[in-house]
Amino acid sequence: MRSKIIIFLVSAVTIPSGILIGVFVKNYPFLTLKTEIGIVEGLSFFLTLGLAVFVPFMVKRWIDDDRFVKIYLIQELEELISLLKKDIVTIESCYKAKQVTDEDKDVINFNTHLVDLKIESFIEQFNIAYPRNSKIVEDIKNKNLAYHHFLTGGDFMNSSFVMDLKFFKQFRAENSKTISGIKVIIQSIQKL
Amino acid sequence: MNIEDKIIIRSDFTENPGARYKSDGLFSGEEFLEKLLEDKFIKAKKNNYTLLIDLDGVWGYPSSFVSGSFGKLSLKYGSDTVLNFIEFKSDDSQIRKEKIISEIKNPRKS
Repeated sequence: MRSKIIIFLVSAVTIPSGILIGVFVKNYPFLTLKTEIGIVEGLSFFLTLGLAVFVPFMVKRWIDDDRFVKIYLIQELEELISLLKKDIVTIESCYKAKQVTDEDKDVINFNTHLVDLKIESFIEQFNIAYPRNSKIVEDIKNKNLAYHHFLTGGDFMNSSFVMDLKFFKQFRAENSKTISGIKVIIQSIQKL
Repeated sequence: MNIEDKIIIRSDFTENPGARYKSDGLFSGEEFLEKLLEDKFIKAKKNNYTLLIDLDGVWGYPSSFVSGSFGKLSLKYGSDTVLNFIEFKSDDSQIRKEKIISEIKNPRKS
């Protein structure tokens, strides 16, 4: 509705203005219109017109493409953060119950698998958009490895493991550190 | 070298790997190493062929399992030797394959 009003107003102003300018130019002697134009002048006019339309369009498209690529990459990382937050739910439930069942361990293991898949999806897309930037890829892989070692490389996976406050605090710290690290990567992507 | 033997972890062992040692519970890395991995690795090394390890269809490999199996194998025989005779297949996830290879190259002593 609003765009229709704008179109109407623009038409209502430009069409009568164009007619008035045409009549004015035709009927007043101090303004003469040369009706012949040279080929070079004509080409120059169309070239200028083309550049005036084409260049802003291409620049806008280039900016938008880059913006959308970053949006998609950041979305992948935000989904990764959501997956890492699922570990908090599982571990908190184990801490409240003061026990870790085999099912809890399977849930954690499966979530690490999903985290790996999400990181791979991110890396595939990132490498297409920014093929010469390996630092971010290595950074996220290292963060994933460190977190994976902490969560599944220690006593948590043992059948005799007893969930205590010490482990719970260590886990929360490690999980928080990993999530913060990913948020820093998000900022780095914004600056690319 | 040709692939002449393989271990499909999901069907030959488990789809839910456990912890590091047998004392830590079922389907540990140590159990996998003793029941399957080491014998097949030794055979592959003796007869100069590649042992293929299929990692697909398993819902996550705990770091302790990897350390207790592949890591321990690497500590015993050397990472270069292990990687010379073992090849990994992982259509599900390249990152999981990289994690295991990383453990072989830098095995943790525990």
